Amino acid sequence: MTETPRKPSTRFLLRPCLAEDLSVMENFAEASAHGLTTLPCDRAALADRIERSLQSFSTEDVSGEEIYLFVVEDCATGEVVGTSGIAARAGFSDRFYSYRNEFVVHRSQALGASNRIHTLHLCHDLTGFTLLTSFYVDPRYEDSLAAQLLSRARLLFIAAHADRFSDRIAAESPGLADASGRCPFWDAVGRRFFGMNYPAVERLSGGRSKAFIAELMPPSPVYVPLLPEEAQWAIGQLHPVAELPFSILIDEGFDAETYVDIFDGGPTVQERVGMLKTVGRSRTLRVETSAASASLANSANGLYIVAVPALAGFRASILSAAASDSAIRLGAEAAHQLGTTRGDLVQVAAFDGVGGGSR
Amino acid sequence: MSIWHLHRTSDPGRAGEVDTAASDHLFALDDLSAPGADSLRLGTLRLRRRIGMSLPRYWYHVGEVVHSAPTLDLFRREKVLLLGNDFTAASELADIRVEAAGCPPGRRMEILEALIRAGLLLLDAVPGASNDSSEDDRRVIVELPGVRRINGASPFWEGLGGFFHDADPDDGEREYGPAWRSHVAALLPRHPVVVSLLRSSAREAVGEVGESALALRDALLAQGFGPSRHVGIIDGGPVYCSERRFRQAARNCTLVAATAGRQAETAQSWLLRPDHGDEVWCLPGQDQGGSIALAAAVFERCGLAAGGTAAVLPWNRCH
Repeated sequence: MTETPRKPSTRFLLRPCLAEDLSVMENFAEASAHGLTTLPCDRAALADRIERSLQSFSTEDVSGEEIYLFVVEDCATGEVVGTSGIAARAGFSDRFYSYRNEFVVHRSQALGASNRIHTLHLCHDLTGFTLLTSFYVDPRYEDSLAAQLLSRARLLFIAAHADRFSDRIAAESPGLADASGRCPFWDAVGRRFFGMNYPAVERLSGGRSKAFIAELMPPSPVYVPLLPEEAQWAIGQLHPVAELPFSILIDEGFDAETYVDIFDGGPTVQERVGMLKTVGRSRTLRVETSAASASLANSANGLYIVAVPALAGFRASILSAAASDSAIRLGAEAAHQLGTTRGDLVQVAAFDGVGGGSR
Repeated sequence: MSIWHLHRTSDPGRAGEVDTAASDHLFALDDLSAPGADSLRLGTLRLRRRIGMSLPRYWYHVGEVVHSAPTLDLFRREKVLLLGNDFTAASELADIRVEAAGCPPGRRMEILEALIRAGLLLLDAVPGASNDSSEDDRRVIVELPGVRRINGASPFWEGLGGFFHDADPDDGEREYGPAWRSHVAALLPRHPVVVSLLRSSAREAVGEVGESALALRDALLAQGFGPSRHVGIIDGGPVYCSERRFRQAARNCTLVAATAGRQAETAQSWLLRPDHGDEVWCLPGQDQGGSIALAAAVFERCGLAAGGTAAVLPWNRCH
């Protein structure tokens, strides 16, 4: 989906999630559709996660266990309208399980016949990858720049603090399931071994990691042709509620063909950080606030993701500005909202509004 | 008393590529004492020695994995199929058939057991056979036919193999002979297949004996065979196995002429494999320790010579 950038705006500001955002985060967790966000619905657990995130933003002593939660504000109202997150290392000290799509070709020379068989291999390939998590945007803002900012600005955060993250990023997306949680892929694969639906397994596992459940799955590859057609069709299929964040990730250049979730068969995307569109386009520029800046005299305005790359003070916005090879001119209001002043260095990535909405 | 004879017979049905390293011969069991005929065909079987040594043979091993998580109150045992060549170098009894015309009422089991036991005696008592072959090499297997639908289709093939090679196994075997199974195995899954992922009709066929082979299964059990943990790749029928160490060993005896008048009183039945020739006799004789005494009429009917030696086993099943 391609949309022409519309009216320039500085309406949205991305910043780290703070303790006072707990109530709105709780609302997000409760409102989020099946599997779309990894936010826990339990208030105490949510508070703990925010606290862990704040510690991650403030510490220099990193282990890979860090999580980072962001929120985006509507600057016009001050309302928090969405959230997104990063887990520094998928699986951390445990293993992160995925099914890897593979195709094996068997050939019988004597019969002059061959076949190409789709298999799913249980693997730990994505263990240690940086994981994009917790995406949620208020439905009223799905078509706005808020969704774009939530998803893409965290890539600039990863790029700016590369020593805290893997050079590879992954993100899970929910697979097909109905409102009751019935999931064709789980019913054909996992349910055979657990005898219960997936929500029930999650409840029984008492909040332990998915790895705990995954270790009870058969380790041998699954031959896809042996599965019921409904389950085959569900492999790599996206739950409709995740179309927006998924489309942004695809636009960024993530590969969605290789891995699927072992529980619902939803796509798990992955890519090298440096290959992603926003990261590849990012430059470090000096902030100019004067309209008379000589270096920007001949520069036309464009739409940019601009990020102040500090750790706890990380801020980002999508705004219209003039930029040259060395500088970007920000309006006073935008500079103020980002907490930056003339002469500061900021990360800037051209934004073309492709993927998801961009009102 | 009856005289039955198991011997090599012509083999019209061989088609396609053969396992050149295996000896593969068709044998017939004839009743030489049937009234009104020179001999009556009772049944046939095929003997294969050292199978799979040039053209690999394949079976699925039926293993088991346990998924256990006490905290989830979860304990599940899952069958797993793994394609392999586990019976390579074993011997095989195949195509065991009772001839309807030669099968007196109520003697089907007797004929089946005679075919099986005589076949084992032929395999065990091979003149000049190496004694240092491994116990694995001395296994004898029988692939029992599995479940088929009325139209002959195999639910096991439809639920597993058919997804890997869309062909009718019967057509394949008509064109390529027994070698088709080796050829098609190259297209079958090399990784373990969890049985519970198969459709129900295929799951239920794993290790099940087809109705037409129930009598053969009973005969095999009576002759010391037991189900291995393997099934055929086409119809999922079980592979039954007999290990040499559990089989009664034949003893070597000299054949002598029986004393006239006493033979009929004390004679019992024997399976007898002369040291010459690929044949087994089922005949009456008198146990005299290191020798078996045969009536003159038996010597004459069987073309055996007094003073010759043979591997013998008591045979109490028939006569």
